[in-house]
Amino acid sequence: MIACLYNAFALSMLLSVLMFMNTWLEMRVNLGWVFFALTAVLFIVQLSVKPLRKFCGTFTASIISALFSFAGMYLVLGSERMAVIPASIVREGIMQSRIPFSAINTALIAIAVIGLAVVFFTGRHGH
Amino acid sequence: MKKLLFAIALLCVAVSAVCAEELSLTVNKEKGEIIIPAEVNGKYLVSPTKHALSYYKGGNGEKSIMRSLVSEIDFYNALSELGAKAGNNITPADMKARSSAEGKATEGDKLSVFLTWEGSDGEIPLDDAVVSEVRDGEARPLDLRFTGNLEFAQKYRPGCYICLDSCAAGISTNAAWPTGSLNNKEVSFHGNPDVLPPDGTRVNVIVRLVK
Repeated sequence: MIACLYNAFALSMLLSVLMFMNTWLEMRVNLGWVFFALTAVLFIVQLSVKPLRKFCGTFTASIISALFSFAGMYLVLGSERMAVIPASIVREGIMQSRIPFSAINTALIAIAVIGLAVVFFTGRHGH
Repeated sequence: MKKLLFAIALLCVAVSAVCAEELSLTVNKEKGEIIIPAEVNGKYLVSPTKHALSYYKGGNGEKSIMRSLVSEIDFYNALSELGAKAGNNITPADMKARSSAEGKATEGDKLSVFLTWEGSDGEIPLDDAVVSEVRDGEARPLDLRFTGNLEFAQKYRPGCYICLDSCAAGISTNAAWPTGSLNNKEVSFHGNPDVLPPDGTRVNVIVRLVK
């Protein structure tokens, strides 16, 4: 279940960044809310579809999600915007415009790393 | 557990109180100027937007290079107080123009806009703080006008103070780029990271009526 949540989080961030690249959409939609909504939808989809749940609930799937999401965002944004855009999407979603990007980036990196560790250890414990 | 919930609730109230800081505009009738307290939004130093300044509580509050800490309605009233005449010639239907050739440029009294912040080298023209990337041809200097749009602003509350093209939503918009320019991707705008201070910096936006 934690692995499914992790995958949903990582892939939703990539999808939100891709939507951000469309200026027309970005100017009209709160992509932070879209990000949280997508996380919820992808999480529910993974839990609801049995074959998907079996694969997505593994550590391997989480590693693939994390790498795919990171690589996709890096290719689309480049290093300079990578430090700003994902954090700005989260900031808009939680409607706290005064939180510095660096603080949100630290939280995102912590979620990515600690989340992966939790998926790994809960998976081992499950076996 | 109850104590923890109480502490979290208290923290939320405190954070909301700090974030909901409301300041006021400074209007100087003799100088014909308005000073608007605002903050830089670092997101638009690296990505495109059509808004230079929007009220942080408005629909476009987070879609702008700078977020104003005062309502755009106050800005409209302040400009009227200075005797500025609104153009009021752009309608939402004009925003559907597919190119600048089909579009309409805003009318209204001309405004000049400058920025200052702690450590700035005097007053920085807004023109220097905004980068315009033009598809064909050369960049055009900002030609900001008192567009008006009070009815739209009151009805939909987009929060728009200064739009970088001619627009049916902003109190002040740019006559240099008619409606349709952005739809046709003839130009795109973003904040100038080499001029503007970093994300979150408090700035004063000085708007003067050009006589």
